[in-house]
Amino acid sequence: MSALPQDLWTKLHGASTHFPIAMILGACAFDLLAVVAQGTSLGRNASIAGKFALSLGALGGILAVISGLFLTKGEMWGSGALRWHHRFVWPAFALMIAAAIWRLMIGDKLTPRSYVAYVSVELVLAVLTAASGYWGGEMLQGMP
Amino acid sequence: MRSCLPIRAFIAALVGAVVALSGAFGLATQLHKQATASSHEQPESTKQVLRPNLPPDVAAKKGRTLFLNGCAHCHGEDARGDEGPDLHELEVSDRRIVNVVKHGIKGEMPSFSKKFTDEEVSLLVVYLRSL
Repeated sequence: MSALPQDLWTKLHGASTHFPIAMILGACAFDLLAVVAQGTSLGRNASIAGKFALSLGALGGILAVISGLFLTKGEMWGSGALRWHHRFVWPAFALMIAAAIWRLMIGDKLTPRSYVAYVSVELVLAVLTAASGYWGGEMLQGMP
Repeated sequence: MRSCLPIRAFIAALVGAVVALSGAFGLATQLHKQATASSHEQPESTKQVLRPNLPPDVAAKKGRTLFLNGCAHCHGEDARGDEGPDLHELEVSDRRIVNVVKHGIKGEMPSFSKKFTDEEVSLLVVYLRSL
């Protein structure tokens, strides 16, 4: 199943993780802007950008998780920095998929109240994603 | 119908998250099984795994000293893992452990063939088996 060489999985995981991180942080920023500028054309455009950024981030997240599992040969927990990475990755992964599905289904029928709740969830997601990225970086660049 | 949309979307989101995590778990289980199985099929470069000519507790104690000097840096003093993985209850053969210590894993772990003699590696194996 894992026919690719191990160092290629390392590169693939490295390449595929940054995209969802950027998309999720971007989606969070766009949706915050959309909440602040509700009712304006800027707010509407930011809302559309937020929706697509989160959806693309979730798709990228699936690729990142798959490459990560191949890289670690199926390790879902691990130890040390890997364990810390996973402590944030799994909730972030579940939350990003859930948020993307919810947002795509709701479309533009977001009430101001539900939009604020959604952005709050997105903020939590952004923190989880950033933390998992931080611990991922620690595994490569951190001090021994 | 419209008022049901947020609830339906919420349920779909919940199902999606569960499916995603289950999928990840399923793939992880499959990959882990495969890795465990193939670890016994590695080319054997160490023809025979040495057995230390010492009582097991003495060999394990000596192995522990070697572990602290050469391996704890990455695997942690309690071998519970740090930068390297947890080494408790390893599901691989002695032969595989010897091969990994002596030849390393490309991109993951260096070779310790110059640091440890064959006898020392066998002491390490006894120590790891005692965990």
